[in-house]
Amino acid sequence: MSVDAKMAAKNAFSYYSDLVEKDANVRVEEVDFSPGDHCWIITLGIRRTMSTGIGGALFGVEVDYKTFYIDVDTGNVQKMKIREIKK
Amino acid sequence: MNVSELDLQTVLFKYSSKGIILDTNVFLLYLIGVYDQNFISNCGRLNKFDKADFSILCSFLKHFTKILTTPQILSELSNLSLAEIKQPKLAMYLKDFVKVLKDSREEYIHKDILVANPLVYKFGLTDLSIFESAHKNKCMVLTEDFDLYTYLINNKCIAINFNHLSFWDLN
Repeated sequence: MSVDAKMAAKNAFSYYSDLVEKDANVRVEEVDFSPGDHCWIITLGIRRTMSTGIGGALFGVEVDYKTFYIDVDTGNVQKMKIREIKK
Repeated sequence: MNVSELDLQTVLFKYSSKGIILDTNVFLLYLIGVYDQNFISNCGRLNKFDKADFSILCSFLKHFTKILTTPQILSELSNLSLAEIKQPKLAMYLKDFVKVLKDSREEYIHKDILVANPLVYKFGLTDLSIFESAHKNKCMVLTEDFDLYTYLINNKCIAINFNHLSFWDLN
């Protein structure tokens, strides 16, 4: 494998920052390897502080989860998907 | 409860004496690292981890008086160890494995409790044994399994996602 898990996570973060949202508050939530796809599967949690309550006086944190498929040879993002949570 | 929202030091202080449950993959990383840190990268099951992750794990575990485990985790660890390591390394590895297990505490959840929980169909016996043990002992769980982690923090358990510790430096 020429791209390790940490590099794959950085690439997923860069991809998201460049394409969707700069300076996002992001954490790595899940790392997996798919031999079938020849990809690292990286799930990022994108955290946003939301105003809630009357007049937006309270703040809560909302997290969106997105999964990125990163090619292990090139490090390129193959696809990005919404990660559903098992309930 | 999501520990990242709280003061981690406070939480660690509160839970250190209760011990910590490690999920199978994190426990395997610990066992293999204790045996030989250089061997971590040779294990297919641990291909996402490296020596730095083992150091982070050791630093984190220093806060806890003991590791709590379940028969289901131990079975998985044993099977994975045999699959990953071949003789003559296996015998030496198992010596360290036994030493670590002697210092840990086993928490037994009766199978009838596990199979009575409908979540067994989603998470399986091992993850359910982690949830039930964490609940019963009010102790912390360290896991790298996203589904288990989110389930735990949404169901009144204290859990830390190991990926938050090991992949902190994204920029």
